[in-house]
Amino acid sequence: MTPIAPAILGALLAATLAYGLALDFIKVAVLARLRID
Amino acid sequence: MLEATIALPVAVGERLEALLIAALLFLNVALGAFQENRAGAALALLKERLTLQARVRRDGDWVTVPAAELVLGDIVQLSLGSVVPGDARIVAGSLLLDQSMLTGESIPAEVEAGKIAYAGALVRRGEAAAEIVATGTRTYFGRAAELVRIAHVESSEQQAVLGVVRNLTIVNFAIIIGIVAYAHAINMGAARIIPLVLTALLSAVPVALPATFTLAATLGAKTLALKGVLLTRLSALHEAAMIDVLCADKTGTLTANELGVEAVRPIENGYTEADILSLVALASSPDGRDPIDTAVRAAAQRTGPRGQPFEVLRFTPFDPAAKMAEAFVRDQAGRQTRIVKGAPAALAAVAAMPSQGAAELLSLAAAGYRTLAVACGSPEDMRVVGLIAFGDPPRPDSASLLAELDTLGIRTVMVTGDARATAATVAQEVGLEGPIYPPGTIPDKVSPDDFAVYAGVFPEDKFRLVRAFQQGGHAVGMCGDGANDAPALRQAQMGIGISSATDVAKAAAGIVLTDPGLGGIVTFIKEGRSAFLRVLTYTLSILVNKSATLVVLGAGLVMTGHAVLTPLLQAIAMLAGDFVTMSRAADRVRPSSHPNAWRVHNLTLAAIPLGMFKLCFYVGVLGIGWFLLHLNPGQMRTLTLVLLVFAGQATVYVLREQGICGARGLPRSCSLLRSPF
Repeated sequence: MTPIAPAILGALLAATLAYGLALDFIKVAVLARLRID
Repeated sequence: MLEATIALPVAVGERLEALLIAALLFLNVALGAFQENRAGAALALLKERLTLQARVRRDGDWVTVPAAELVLGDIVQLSLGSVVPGDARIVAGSLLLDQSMLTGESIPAEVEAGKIAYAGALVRRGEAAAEIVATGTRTYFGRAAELVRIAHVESSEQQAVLGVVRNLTIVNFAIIIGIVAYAHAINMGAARIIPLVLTALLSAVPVALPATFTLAATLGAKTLALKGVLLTRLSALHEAAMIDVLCADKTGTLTANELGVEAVRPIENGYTEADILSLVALASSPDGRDPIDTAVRAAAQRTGPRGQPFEVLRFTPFDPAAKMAEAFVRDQAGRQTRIVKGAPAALAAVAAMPSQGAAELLSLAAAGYRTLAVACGSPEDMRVVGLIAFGDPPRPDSASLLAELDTLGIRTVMVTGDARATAATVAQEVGLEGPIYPPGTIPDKVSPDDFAVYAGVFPEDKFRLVRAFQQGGHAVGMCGDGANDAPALRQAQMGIGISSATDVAKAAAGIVLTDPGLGGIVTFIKEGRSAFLRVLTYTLSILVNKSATLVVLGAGLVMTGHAVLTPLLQAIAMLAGDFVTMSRAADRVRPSSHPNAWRVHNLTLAAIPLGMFKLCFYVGVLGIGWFLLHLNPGQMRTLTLVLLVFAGQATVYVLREQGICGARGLPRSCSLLRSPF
């Protein structure tokens, strides 16, 4: 594996958090329309 | 497919990857080995019970032969302690038969000339000659064995796994074909395409899916074992979550399976209930072998001694032919009294039944009680003084348990071989409301809301009833204890062997309760629903992660002209993703208040928008890395691996529950913050 700059990793971490929060709301909207259990 | 991912790296000399994948496959197989074949165990026990010896008359002599050598028309001798070797019609004599190994009923049954003694029953009293009318698998017992062999219901868990894998395979296979076609179009060459295909296969296969199902059930089984519920088949736990109809056997399940005095009716003026019980106790054997005598003496002991003490001069135990037991007693003044207890019809030969007694008798019979009459007096002047009704009282926890099952969305119906009147009385006492099924054959399709009680049913009917509910799309739980319940226990999604169940019933059941009553069932259903939710959210995560990962492999290839992951990196991503996600099998969840069901179609549909969003995130990050940051192909591989691990973990935490992830407080939302690490 070729190393990448720590700043990129930090940015990726922040982006992942934002992604997770957005996914949370999308999940709630999807599961409100589709019963899965 | 997983086996193919082992063969490929071996072919291209990548031994480390092959070893890693082989280890994962071994883990899957090892966990799967917990599964058991219950039908085989049940049949083995049934066969074991059928290896009996019989005393039979051949050429005028009584000889002992193996039961397997009996033929129709043989005359066999049945005496105290012997086991009935085949279904046999009594031709002379009478017997008290313990049929608990067949029916689970602890109360022995009287069988007289003209009636059938079933194979496997134990003679508790009497002697008789009987003609064999059915042998081997044609006996009542043997038919149960045959039904156990054919009874089968496909596991909803298996169907769900197959459905998920099928949907994933269709989508992923199409993506892999596209990746290979594009790689070929840009002249990558076979040496680079084979590792690319291997990476794609590794990312496509839901390696840990079956293992996670098994792990969730194993952990649930461990919890249940501590609460007195034993699983004989791990997948039964997942089936418990689906159950929406519970068929409860009456005897030993809703009732205590102990004969007790239910009512005492004095007929003659001057006698109280306690007087009647004291008199009958004098005409009852103290040895504890006759269940009616035991019940009477226990009831008399509870009410305490009445009046002056009597001395028993002579006691004649219950005679099945005369249907009476009697005692001669003497009081302190030296007066002798004869006390007779027996079947009301038989007692007519001793004393006339007053009109008030006849009316009471009718009302007790209508309530389904087994009733005995009591007469006493001087030998020349006997009078019927009272009636005693016997029954099997409901367990104290039955009513509350049924109410709790109702709140869990489970409809309970009583299924019993007993008479309608008896079943109706118990149903009323435990709060089971609804009509009683009329006598007749069970139709092919039945709704659980139609009837609350199915009385007078035969074992084949129980089996048929379970199938009829299943035809209507219901998932059925069936409680049972006798060998004759084994086919229905095997056919039901959740066969429940209660604590007093015979070995055959336990082997056919999916779970066995070690404590009496149905308390364990509520625990079992709640634990089953928890386990179901764990694997459900795991499966949704897998569906979202797998396809998105495969597409990002293709997107990376299109973007950079190189594979953005090597097989080794994909194997590392798999360990950090699939196998870390397996910890969900022990996650804390709240069981749902309604029966669960696998909706694979909806699950797949739900995964599409979630997967698309994830894909956009992946492509956006890779695009920034390649076009804005100008990372080289090696750095792009590192970025892809870290991206897969970060986003994969975030997805798993977000999909842990169906509501807003952080809605239940900081600790839970913190798990999202921790996810990238």
